[in-house]
Amino acid sequence: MKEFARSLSPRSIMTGSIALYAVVLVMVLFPPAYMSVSGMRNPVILGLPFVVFYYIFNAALLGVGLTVLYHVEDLRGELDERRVQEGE
Amino acid sequence: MLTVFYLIVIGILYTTRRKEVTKSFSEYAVGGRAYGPWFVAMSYVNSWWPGSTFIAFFGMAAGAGIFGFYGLAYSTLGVGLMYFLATRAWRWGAAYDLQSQPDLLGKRFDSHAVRVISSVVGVIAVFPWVVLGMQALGELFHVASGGTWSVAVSLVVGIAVIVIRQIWTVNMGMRGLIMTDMFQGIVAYGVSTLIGVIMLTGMGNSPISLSTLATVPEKFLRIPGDGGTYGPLYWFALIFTGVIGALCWPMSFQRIYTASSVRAVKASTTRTMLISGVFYTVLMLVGMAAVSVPEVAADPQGGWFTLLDKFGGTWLTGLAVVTVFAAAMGHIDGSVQVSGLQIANDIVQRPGRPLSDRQLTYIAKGSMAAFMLLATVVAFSTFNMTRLQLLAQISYQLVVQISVPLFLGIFWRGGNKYGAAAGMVLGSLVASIMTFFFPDDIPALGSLTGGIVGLVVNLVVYLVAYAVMGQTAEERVRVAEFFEAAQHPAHRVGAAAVAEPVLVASGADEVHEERES
Repeated sequence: MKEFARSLSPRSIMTGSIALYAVVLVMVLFPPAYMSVSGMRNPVILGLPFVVFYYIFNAALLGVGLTVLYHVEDLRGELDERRVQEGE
Repeated sequence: MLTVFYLIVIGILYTTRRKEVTKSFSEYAVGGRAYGPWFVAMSYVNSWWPGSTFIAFFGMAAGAGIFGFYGLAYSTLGVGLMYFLATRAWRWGAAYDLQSQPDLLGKRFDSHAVRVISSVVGVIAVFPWVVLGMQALGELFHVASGGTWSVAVSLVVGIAVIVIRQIWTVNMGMRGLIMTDMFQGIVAYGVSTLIGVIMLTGMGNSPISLSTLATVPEKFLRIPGDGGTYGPLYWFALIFTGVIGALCWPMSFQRIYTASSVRAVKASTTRTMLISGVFYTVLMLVGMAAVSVPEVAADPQGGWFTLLDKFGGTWLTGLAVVTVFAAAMGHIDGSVQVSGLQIANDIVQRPGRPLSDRQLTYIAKGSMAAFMLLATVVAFSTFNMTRLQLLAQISYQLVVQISVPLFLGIFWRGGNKYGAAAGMVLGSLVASIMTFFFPDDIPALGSLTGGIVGLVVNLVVYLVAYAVMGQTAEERVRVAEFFEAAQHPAHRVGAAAVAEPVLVASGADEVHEERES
């Protein structure tokens, strides 16, 4: 996993991240997409009518996606910068 | 219960006092840029969800079903945006010692006018929400007294409680705010989520359960615009405005500058999504499941209190009041703090009149006190006025006008100060006028809102100004240097920065410390 994360090019990571964000954006914001699930009860998933599941799923997809991105950036050592306080 | 909660908050404020608050404006404004991800995340969540989440948003789920879930969509996508601009915004903040969102815009466009306009738009937009928050506290105390206090008395008590709380907000600045946000957040979002989950499992004679959701009437599953009075673009307008508004609210953006590192900003973003997403989802599921409870159907906005009263009587009603109080307090605190900060840092301070840290801190404190005083007067004088709600709607459409120079300025080297300033002014005017005449939606435009129309005008002005006037050679060099500062962790900018602490890529020990924090 570490090797895989480190082997990725910055461009492919950025493309993948933006693509994920764009997919969620379209699913949630594009009128034909949201109108197609409006009023949909079936299939009921985890006890939730489909349209409710759809919105929770999109939120979860983005949350999980960004968490994965955070860990990938962590493995690549791209997060380790901070402002050194005076006196340190 | 409310008194105990209040005293704990005050206790936290006293135990976390630091003398250096009055010495350094950076310490006062952004807590010395010293906070780790959980603190920044909870502070973000606190400033994000007002107390009315348990009233207005809950009411939407309980009264209109899926409608309430638009809040989940826009908050997730909006907070997610922060992840993508975290590195640039944080590095610029650290390199140029920026304290606020208008500070960044002023630096990006090398324009005091851009800085002042964005600051004024932000402060004006926040104001009605503080007034509404104070009035909501009045209603809360009416509930807390079991209806024995009149609405007028409850309003006086509610406002008095929050005004007294601001003494510490004003005195301690960001540090006090972040420390109490953690406690307030755990109570507001942690406790309510726990109660919601227990209710959804149907335990202990819960008035609702998850199983109700599978049988809610179909009208509660229809997205606004799918039939009914709204057009098909209403849902888009609501969510889109929320997504881009997420980083336009001064409180949101300032969270980047309280963070100790890029890691802290990014980690706090993912944690904000987690806390906020789980809390809001559970609250909406509870609200939607409650459509079958007749008392909630009769008054959806009071549904949170009604449900908890049915579930656990007086004790749980008290807990419901405390959760809403904690959320309301966190939101008002954050709004007052950032408004005072922006007035001092971006409006009073001018290029020809730089102020010392001590002066800035005193002006910020004075501005917070004045802001709160004005909000108190307006809260009293406009109680029961529906026009105030309209002002809050206008303010939302107004604040998103900052997004054009903010987002384009961060991700694109084009544009100039003329387009940025004129775009924000014209966009705000158009948005305000359109929202005044069409408070909810514009039927002729498929139910788009006034803010979207203002945004289109804003964007066109920004692009046309750049196409016509372009950038001078000097401006291109300056913008190139500005963007260069965001490319490298250790880059230093300008002679003035020599005296500042340096930026470094930290070693393993520091990473460990960051994770611990």
